[in-house]
Amino acid sequence: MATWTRRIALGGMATVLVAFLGWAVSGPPPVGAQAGFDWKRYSGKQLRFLVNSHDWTNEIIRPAIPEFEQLTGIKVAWEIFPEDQFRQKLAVEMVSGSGSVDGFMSLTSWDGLRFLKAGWYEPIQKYLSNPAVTSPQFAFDDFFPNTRQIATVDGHLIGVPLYPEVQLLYYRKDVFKTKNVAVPQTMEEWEAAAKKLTDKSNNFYGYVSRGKRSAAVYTLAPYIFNFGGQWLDKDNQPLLNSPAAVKGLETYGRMLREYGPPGVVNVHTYEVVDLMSQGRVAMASDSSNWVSSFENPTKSKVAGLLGYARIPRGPGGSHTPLISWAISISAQSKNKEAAWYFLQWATSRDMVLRQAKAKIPVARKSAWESPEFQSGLPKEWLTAFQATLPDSYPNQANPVVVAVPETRDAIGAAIVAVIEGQDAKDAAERAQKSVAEIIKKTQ
Amino acid sequence: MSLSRGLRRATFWCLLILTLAFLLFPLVWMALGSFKTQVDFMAYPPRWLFRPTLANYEKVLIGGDFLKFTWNSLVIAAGSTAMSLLLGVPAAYGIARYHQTRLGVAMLAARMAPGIAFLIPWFIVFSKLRMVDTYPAVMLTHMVVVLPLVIWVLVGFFEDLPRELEESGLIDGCSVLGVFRRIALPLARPGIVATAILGVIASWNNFIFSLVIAGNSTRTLPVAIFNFVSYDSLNWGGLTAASSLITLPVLLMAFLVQKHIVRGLTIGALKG
Amino acid sequence: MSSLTSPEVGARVLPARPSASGGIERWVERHLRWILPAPAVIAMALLLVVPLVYTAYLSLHEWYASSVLGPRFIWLDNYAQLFVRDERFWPAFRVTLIFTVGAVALTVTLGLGIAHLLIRNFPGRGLARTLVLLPMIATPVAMALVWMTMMSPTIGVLNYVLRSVGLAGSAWVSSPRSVIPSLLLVETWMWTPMTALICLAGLATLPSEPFESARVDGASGWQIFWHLTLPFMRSTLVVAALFRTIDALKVFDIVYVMTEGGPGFASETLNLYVFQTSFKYLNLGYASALIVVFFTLILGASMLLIQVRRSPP
Repeated sequence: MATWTRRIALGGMATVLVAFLGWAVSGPPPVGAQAGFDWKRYSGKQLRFLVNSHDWTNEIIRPAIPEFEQLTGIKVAWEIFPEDQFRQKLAVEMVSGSGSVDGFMSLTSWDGLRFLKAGWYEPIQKYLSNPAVTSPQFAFDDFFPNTRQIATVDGHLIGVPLYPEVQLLYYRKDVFKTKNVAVPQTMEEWEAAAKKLTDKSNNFYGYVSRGKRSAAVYTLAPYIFNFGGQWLDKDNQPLLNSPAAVKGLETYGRMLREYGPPGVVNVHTYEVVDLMSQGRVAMASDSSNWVSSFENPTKSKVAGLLGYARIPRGPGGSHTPLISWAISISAQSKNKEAAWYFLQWATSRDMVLRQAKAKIPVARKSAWESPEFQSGLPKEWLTAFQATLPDSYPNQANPVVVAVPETRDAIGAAIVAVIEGQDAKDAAERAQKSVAEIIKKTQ
Repeated sequence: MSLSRGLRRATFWCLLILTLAFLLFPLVWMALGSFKTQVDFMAYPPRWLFRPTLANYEKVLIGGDFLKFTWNSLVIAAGSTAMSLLLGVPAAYGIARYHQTRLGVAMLAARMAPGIAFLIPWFIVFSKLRMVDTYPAVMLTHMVVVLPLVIWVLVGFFEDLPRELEESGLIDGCSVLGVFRRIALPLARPGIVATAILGVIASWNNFIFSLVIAGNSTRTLPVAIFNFVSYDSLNWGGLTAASSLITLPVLLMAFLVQKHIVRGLTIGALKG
Repeated sequence: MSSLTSPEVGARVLPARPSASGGIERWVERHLRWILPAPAVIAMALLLVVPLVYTAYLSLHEWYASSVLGPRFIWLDNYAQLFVRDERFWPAFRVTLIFTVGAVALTVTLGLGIAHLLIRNFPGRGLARTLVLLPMIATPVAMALVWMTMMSPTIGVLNYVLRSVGLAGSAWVSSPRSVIPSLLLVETWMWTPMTALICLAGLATLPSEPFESARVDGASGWQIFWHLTLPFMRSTLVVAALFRTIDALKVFDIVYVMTEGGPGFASETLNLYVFQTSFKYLNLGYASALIVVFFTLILGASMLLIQVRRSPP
């Protein structure tokens, strides 16, 4: 293909990318395009990424790092930590301003505003539109529009989205069949099903979700939304004591208290997965991401036995948060272009296809529609996810404020209180007061 | 007479056995569990008899970076203890011989400060010096724990040394420094060994400093074990295997130098 | 007497002997009392004092590391907020106090008891003494995790034992009511060996005549313990209490690993609250104020105990 026909094509694609929202066009990648793109341009550089422990970071990227190093000559230290430690480490390193970190992952619903305000993100727009540093194969418009929206904080595109997630209802098809229970469509049916399926004498429980302070805020969200509530009003003030929020809080706490396993206040997402995988609960609601763990026969006893459904609806409909981790370049990095190289490699079509093959949800349309993904995941999961998507609220895993951890801890304390049997209205009022105070101090 | 004596003897042995059972049970449980399969672990009532497996140990040792973390813990423990001894032995001698009470108390005050009070300033400094995630940086932070320990224990040891030997050395024309080097040090060797072991154990077990200051290449075992917990939370087999591997070295060290540890701890405590 | 806390001024300072060789050696000899501890003091000053001073300085500022703004001087506002308007401070203070009192009481009492057992002469005493040491030596984080598995409300072995003797299982760390006692159980298990050792050393130095004559006079075991052992052991017990108090006030590893301050904030100690404020909320100015208050608390408690030790019985 003549060099400058390709240049025109590149220029055209760059223009499309600049107007990034809403364009779903993706033409076939030019053949031999690699020949024009210099992967080895930053050879010899060293990068350090701090990332969150997840199947993606552990199973997909980490083993493939040598491939990147060979392709580009850039050495990469890929440091993985479990979520809580990861956040602490990242915070301490970025605060010191030393440039010790070249790139990191972030959850924009949690970190987005705060990182932006602290000046930690290096927006990637300028790299995307620069053909000298962006491989023509990259095709950013291959990413679903709302994932691109999630990766945009206050108008800045801060990174590349990785694995979008909504919340789904997971249930044991076999147990439902044996006990003759139908898949619940409404919140009332849901609670009734949980009640019917709980069998304490046999250590089997009807429902589990997160009960651990800060983590539980995420899984509480659908309850609040389904009763018609929101986290914040137009003026960014909390609505935690609204009737909808109180009802949601009360219902959530009651479900876990009555039909959840003992010790539920210590249950984080990992324990939810374990309890379900070990066959100890009939239903769970949590991130859609965990399908890859549930369907993995080496990790899960219930592989093949699970059904996937939308979270049952309430008077306000059925809405869950839609969030995604994103990988970003650190504004303090001394090797930003090299870091961009890593970003685009890690989220390239090929790598994302690998992710899809491993049954991890993907943000790229091409990978989502690939036969491997479509056939690798349970049909019911795909249906449920695709049905949930249009009604989901982007980034609403928690109130989208600057001081998210503190806010989540305050709301989480209310959740724990209600699980423990305290009055929901009181707990909600306390949380409302705390969060309003936090927002006042930090926005 | 002999009935009451026999009763007392029986009570003694009963209490002793109970005490030892209480103190040792978790350790035994941990060791047992490390050989259980996941199925056996999840069984209730808990199984005392089961077919042991080495799968947990395999999983921990192979395929992860466990050996690297062990090496890190070792290097950092050795380094911080060595540095602490280098600085602490002369200091302890000086404090003992010259009765510098206030300095001694100051060292005790160091033990009182919560570690968190240092973490952010340290991190800022280490980052600016590009020393994050390096052995020297982590060793320096561990030194804050080990050095006061060294001084505090050794002051007691040095004070216990019979002055006559030192004084005769002085009379023979030795300088004070010479007395220190040639008489006091060799005499205090058991104390120094004990202190070194205590220092190594303190550094090996340290969690909070390593959590914040160490990175991927210097991560120590207590921090590494967290990977087991969060990512794979009900993998009790892996957890107990990792815990066994982490605690085994320090437990062995305790056995080897038990007498010294006892003496070192109690001397320092009583004098202090 | 010792140099660490004794108020007596030492009488036997070694003279500096003039040596045969040159001036530098003489100078070193004369100033040896300062030169010997100098490297250690400098190291501690750099590693400890400077950061502490910086922290105290920072406590007078407002600084959220989550903004591009730098620290802003606000006088004592942080402290005002802390004492008056912070709804997590006093509960954390309370939790810390309850935990510390419990930890000290339990470990010192048990330690004294165990010391009485180990002071006797019996076959295998050396082995027993070593075995008793082990909980203290084992890596705290690792053992805390093992305790977590034992404390599982459903399949943990502790509840199994309780149920087999007819008691109900406990929620252990998953209920606000039982979380602190659970943590105390682990803390006691871990640190009683230390107090036992200290008490053992103390018991070993007790003079034997008062005890023998008391026995000859027909005093009961209890009377001997109450009127002889305890007064004699006072100093030792205070030392044990001092170290345990400092460590218990600062407890971090087991709480962080087992509960992270939960459920809710039921087990949030001051140290943990400071950690969250620093590394989770990045509220560094306020965290510095918390640190200053916390450190003062520890110093105060220690001074109190040191005074108790010094005061006449």
